[in-house]
Order: sequence, then C-alpha cells, then structure tokens
Amino acid sequence: MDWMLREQGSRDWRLLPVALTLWSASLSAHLAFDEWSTAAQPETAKTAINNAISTSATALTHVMTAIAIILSVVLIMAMRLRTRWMGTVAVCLAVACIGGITAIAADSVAWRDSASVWARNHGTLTQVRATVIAPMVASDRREYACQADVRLNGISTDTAIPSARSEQVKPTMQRSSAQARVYMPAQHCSIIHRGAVYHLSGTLQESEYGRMPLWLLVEDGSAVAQVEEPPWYRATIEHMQQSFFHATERLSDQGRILVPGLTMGVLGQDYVGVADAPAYETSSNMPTTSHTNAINETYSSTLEERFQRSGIMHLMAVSGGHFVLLADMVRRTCMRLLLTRSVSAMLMACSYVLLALLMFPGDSVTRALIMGLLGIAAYGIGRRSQSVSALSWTVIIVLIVNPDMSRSYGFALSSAAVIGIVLFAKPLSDAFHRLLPKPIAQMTAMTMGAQIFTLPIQILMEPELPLLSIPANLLVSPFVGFATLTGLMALFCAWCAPWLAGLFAWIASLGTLIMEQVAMLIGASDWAVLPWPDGVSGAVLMLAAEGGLAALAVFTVRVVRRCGQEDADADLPGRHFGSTRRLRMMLWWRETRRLLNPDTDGR
Amino acid sequence: MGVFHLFTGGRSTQSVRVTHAAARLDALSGRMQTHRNENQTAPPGSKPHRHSMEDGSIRISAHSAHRVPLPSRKQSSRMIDPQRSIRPEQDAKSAFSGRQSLSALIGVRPADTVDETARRNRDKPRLTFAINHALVVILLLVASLGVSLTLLAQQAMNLSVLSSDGNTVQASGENDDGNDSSDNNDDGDDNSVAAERHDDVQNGDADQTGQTLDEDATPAQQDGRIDLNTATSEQLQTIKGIGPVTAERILEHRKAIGRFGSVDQLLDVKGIGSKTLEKIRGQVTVR
Repeated sequence: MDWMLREQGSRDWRLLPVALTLWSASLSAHLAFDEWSTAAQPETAKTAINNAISTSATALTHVMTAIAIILSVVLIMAMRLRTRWMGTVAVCLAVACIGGITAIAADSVAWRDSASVWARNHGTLTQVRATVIAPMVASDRREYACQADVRLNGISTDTAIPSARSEQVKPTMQRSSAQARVYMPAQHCSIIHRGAVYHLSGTLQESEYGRMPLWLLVEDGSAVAQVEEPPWYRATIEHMQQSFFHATERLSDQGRILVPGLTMGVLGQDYVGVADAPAYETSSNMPTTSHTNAINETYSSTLEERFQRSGIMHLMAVSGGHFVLLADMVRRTCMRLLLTRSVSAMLMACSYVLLALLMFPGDSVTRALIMGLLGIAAYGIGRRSQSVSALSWTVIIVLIVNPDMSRSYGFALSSAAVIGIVLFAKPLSDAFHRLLPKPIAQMTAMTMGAQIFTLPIQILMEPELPLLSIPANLLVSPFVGFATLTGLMALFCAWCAPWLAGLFAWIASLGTLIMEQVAMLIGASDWAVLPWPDGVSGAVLMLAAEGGLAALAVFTVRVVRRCGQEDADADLPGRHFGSTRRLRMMLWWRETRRLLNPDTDGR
Repeated sequence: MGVFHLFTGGRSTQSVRVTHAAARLDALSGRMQTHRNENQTAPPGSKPHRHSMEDGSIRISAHSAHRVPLPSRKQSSRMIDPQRSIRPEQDAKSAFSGRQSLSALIGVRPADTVDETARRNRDKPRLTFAINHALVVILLLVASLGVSLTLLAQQAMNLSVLSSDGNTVQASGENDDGNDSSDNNDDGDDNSVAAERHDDVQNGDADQTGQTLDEDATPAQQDGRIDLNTATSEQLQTIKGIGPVTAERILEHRKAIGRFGSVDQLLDVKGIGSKTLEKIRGQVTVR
C-alpha cells in the first residue's frame, strides 16, 4: 500500500514487463516454428517420416510443458499477489498471445512464399525480379565482391539456364515477397542502386547465416537488367551519400574508414561506390565508381578487430546519439526564433525522418527513429517525455508490426543499451560521484549502464568479454560528440559544397584519429578480452556474474559504512556524509584556483 | 527528560513522543487562548477535556476530538503501536495516558492528518496498471495486432492471386511439397545431411513443364539442369568446370556402368574431384 502512495507519475515503468513478455513470446514462437519447419522438411525417405513425427512430438511436449508452467506461475502469482497486479498480468497475457500470433503468422507467410519453396526444394538457378532495399556493401563471402539486400517481386520457376544471350526472354513469374541477400561479382557491383528494380538470375538457396532467409548467388556472365528506376528521393539520397564518400576520399586511411562509420554506420572499407550521375563528373577527371586507391585491406580488418576487442565498436553503428544531436540543434534554433512548441516539434520530426533516410538502413536506426518520434510527440503536446515508456512502446509496436525484429541483434543491442542507461545511469553516477569528479562519474555510469544488458547479447554473438571497454569508452567519449556532429555536417553539405564537406570531414577525422589510437593501443593488449562460454548458457552466466558483482559491491559498501560508524547512532536517520578525502581534494583545488586567480571567484 | 525525535519528510509516520512542554501548534484560531480560558472558567456542564497539571504541562485527553483534529481511532491505535517506536517504555506510558503525536497536531488544513497523502515524498516508479489503463492498452495492442495481420494477409493474398493466373503447371507451395516427398521415396541417398537441403538431387519433381526456350535447348535441360544419363558431350561441356576431355570421360563411365544412379557417381570419373563436384552439382541431375 505504501508503494502505491509513493508512486511517481514521471517514472512510468508499467510497460516494461509488457515489452519483455512480448519479446520473449515472439522469440519462443519463432523458435517453435523453426523446430516445426525443420521437422516438416522432406529429407530422405527412410528418416523423413520418423524424424518428422518424433520432432513434432517433442516440440508439442515442449510447448505444452511451457504453457503449463506459465499458467501455473500466473495462477500462483494471482493468488499470492494483491489485486493491484492483475492489470499487469492481464496485459502481459494479452501481449504474449499477440506476440505468438504475429510471429507464427509472419513465419508461415514467409514459409509458403514461392521463393522459399523454391530454395528449399531446388536451390538452383532461377530468374528473379527484385527491389533493392539496402545499399550495396562489400561482401562477407570471399567468392563475391559485393552484397545487397533485396525484396523479391517475382520468381520464375520454369525456364532453362538463363545466360547473357537470352536475356530478351521474359519468363512468366510467380509473385513472391521474400527477402534475400544477393551476392554479386565485381562487374555488377557498380550498377545496383537502392530502390531500383532488377531482373537477376542466379542460384537461390537458403542462407547459412545472417538475417536474410535466402541467398541469391549471381555468377559472372549472368544477366543483370534494370527494370525500374529508383524513386527520386532514393536517387537524391544516394547522390548525397556518394558525394560524402568522395569528400572522405582525401582523408588519411583511418579517416576514410572511421568517419563514414561514425556518421552513417557503414565502415569505409565496406562501402561500394555506385556509378555517379553524369553531372557530378565535371569536378574530377577520374573515372567514376571506385576510389582513387582502395584502402589497405589488412589495415582495415585489423582496425575493425581492434575496435571490437576494445569494446568501442558500438560507436560505428548509428545510435540515438545522432538523432539527439540533430534534434537538439533544431530545437534550440526554433527556440531562438521563438517558434511555438508544436511547430518546433514538427520540424524536429521532419529532421528525424530525413536523418533516418540518410543513414544506412539498420535496426538500431529504426529503434532510434521510432523512440525519437514518440519523444517528440510528447514534447509537442507539452508532456514530459519518459524514456522507459517510449522504449517499451517502441519495442511493442515494432515487434507486433514486424515480428522478425525479435530475432535481430541490432535491435536487441540498441534497446538493451537504452534501457540500461535509463535505469542505472543515475544511481551509478550518484554512487561514483563520491569518488570521482562529476563528468568522469557520469561518463563511467553511462558506459556501465549501457554495458549491463548489452554484454549478454554480445556474448551470444561473440563469446568474449571485453575487460577494458570502460577505460576505452572513457578515453574516447569526449571526442565522439563533435566528431559525429562534424561528420553529419559534412554529409549534409557534400552534395553542394564539396570543399566545405572536405573540411568538416577533416575535422571529424581528427576525432577519429584519437579513437583509432585508443583502439589500437587497448585492443592489442593481452588483457583486452576474456573468453567466455558461448550460447545461451554464456549469456545467463554473464547476467549472473553481473548480479554477483553488484551484490558484492553493495555488500562492500555496507560493510565499509558500518565500520566507519559508531554504534550508538546506528538507528539514527540521515545519510552518511561521505569520504572526507574527496572533499578535501575539492577544497584544495578550489583554494588553489583562488590563490592563482585572486580576482575571479574560485568556484 | 524526554527525548524528542522528529521525523520529517514523510519518510515514515512514526509517532512522536512528547512528554513535557508540548507545544500546541493549533493555527486555525486562537485556540490556545480559548482553551486556556475555557480551562480556567470550566463551565459546570461541560466535560472536562483537559486538565492542567501542577507542573505546568498540558495533557490532552483523548476525548477532545471535537476541538483538535485528532487522528482517527485506527491511527491512534497505530500511534500506540509499539512497532514503530524507539523507546518501548515510552509506548507503555503513552498507551496509558493517550498522548498524541506531534505530526497529528501539525497542519493547516483538515486533510493534514497523520496519514496524509498529498505531500508525500514520491520516489518509487509506477509499476502497476489501473484497470482502465490496462483495458486501454489492451485495446491499442489489439488494434496493432489487426494492422499487422492485415499487412501479412495482403502479402499472402498477393501470392495466391497471382499464382492462380500465373504458370499453368506450377502450383502453389503445398503441391510442390507433396510431389517432392512422394518422389523422394525412390532415392535413398546418404548425403541427406541438413546442410545439403538446398541441393535436391532426387528431383523427379512437379515442375516439368516441358517448355524450352532456346533453339539449342533439349528436353534434358528442363529445370535448368542437365540429365547425366541423356546428355551429349556438347551439353556436358556447357557446364562450367567440365571441358571436352572430362565430358568424354563422363560418357565413357556412363557406358561402363550403364546409367548414372546419382550425381555423386561423378566422383568416380577421373578428373572430377569433390571440389569440382560441388561446383557443378547445381547444374546436373540424374533422372
């Protein structure tokens, strides 16, 4: 009863268990569907039927036991807890059902798609008609030069081997809406534009790794024909991005790699240039498409690995920081111009959407965009924006409308970082403030808060624990803000004023120089990473280790506090004053400054 | 001597023990004056609700509920509740004499009682739903579920609509599965590892449309693959990785063993190793 009377409306955490329930329900439904689909695959005659029956039986027993456990837990909770939890329990139950329904429905539609059927049963050459949904980047497979994500529009299933000679034949196509990743050799890389529709031919097979369910392997000599032009906004954005990469070409190696990564989320060596529009060629005599000289591959892969080992690779992905910077600038400008709050909110929303279009597509961009739009909506109607509530609504809406996102690592990492910062940054910063100066305490608290929930997810991806990530982040953090800002300004003006963009990019490369030095220094040390058991058990172990560390810290603080206290005052209220050493240092510093600058106020 | 502990800030509602020189902070009116007067005049019919002691302290009995905003009975019993007190001996005394707590006397409005909620320090996050809010959230979730299922249904509808007026023989996915599983019964192959699922060798499959496109396409090139048992040397040479010499060797091997039973028998041909086989596996078949 006391808790309810002391509730704060400005800290609304009611939807946090709902979002967690939805995510776990969606994931479980995906896993259940995967298990069922594995059992439903027609394998050899001898083992197919037996496998199918046994696997489906085990899957069914798993599902039934899971449902029984959940129902019993819910009943026990309902009987034990007071009535005030029934609302939360009801919403969690509803959202679990919804998560399961949407996940299974989306998986079923993808399963029955013509392209998936083709890939499962044949996995051979075919012709497809596809729209490019993600820009061309460098391929992660050795045999191919570049890769792009596409959404298939149609797949043909009944023709001979298509070759460059016979491309005039347009086979009848079945409608499909599967997503696939296209791997292409070097000769086709420069003609693929985002948003355009192409006629491709290659081997369509199920993917072995990665987020896309299908792979389309295009070989040398296959026909790639453009069927439709990209829409005008996509062409404009591609032109802007291309200009930005031209502007970064004149930087040093680390600038060419890191400045695009910091600004747009794609590392310099991953970018594959497309053919320019003719209007741009007037500025340079060089032929289009490629850099003047490619980046040293050894250096770039070493740098990427060192970034990962030192735990600052998250800087190279687009996060909410970009959006917050831009929104802050827009808001201050609007306030300076004395615009009303609703107009300012609309301008901020437009800027958010524009920035999201300019970035390379990713799940963290989606999360940042939707959460930012919710915050702007709150600002627009004059309410306080609540991060936990906005993040929960983001997760709920995204996972219901696009159930595939529950398996996405980018989305999970981004959300985990935000929830860790929002929940733990302030208490940790207050705790560290007793020992450290305020800016360092705040940065350390933010780094630790972000890492609390992202470390288990990173363990799932790569089973190693970056031990030195907190010092690395501390060293790098003062420079991230201005480097990002100058990178964004270079991106905005590269299409009209390349010299200015080059200047901004050079300034940003000064910031990334420091990041590179820190990464090379810290990532090379032997103590940088600790191997960890992998898989779900590793992630659970990581959570348990964090809980253990937190308990240890709290216990230590309590013991120290109790040792320093007299027993007679043990029951008195009030807070312990704190370490006097820190206070003495602060006073000494203040007095020294007053000594050296007698005219200024020494504060 | 009394010890005077006052807990402020709404942290708890511990009762306060006042033993001597209790201050009456009744600010609504000059009650102090009137009470004192009343005390001294003491009309005969009135209930004596106060009596002043010889040592000058003022004790207030529990009967004067109409004068002072006393806490309710529940709270007064909580006041005497020994759970919250610091000095247990004081509890016994106060239970005996019915003293009041200071926080019961502090206040401006009638709502400023011991248990007041308006000025509480709020520091806990909100975690529970009220029923109305829960219903609103459930409605919003059901609406988004409707949107999601509508989008998915539109995708699925596109699939079915265009496949019905699409190709003649190519049916939708389930027919494919059924035909394949029936054809798979003929070939017991031991390379049916899951990794090879995309490479379907037992392909007496349903999409035999018989359509050929090019002038040099033969029936052996249906489904884009070359049948090893009926291919000529020229057709074999169109496969990347097989030259004229290897094509001749394949034909000789075929003559020697009669007919190919599976694509893996190509490994027996000199000049075709496992790597070459993997390269050409997608382009050949055995029927």
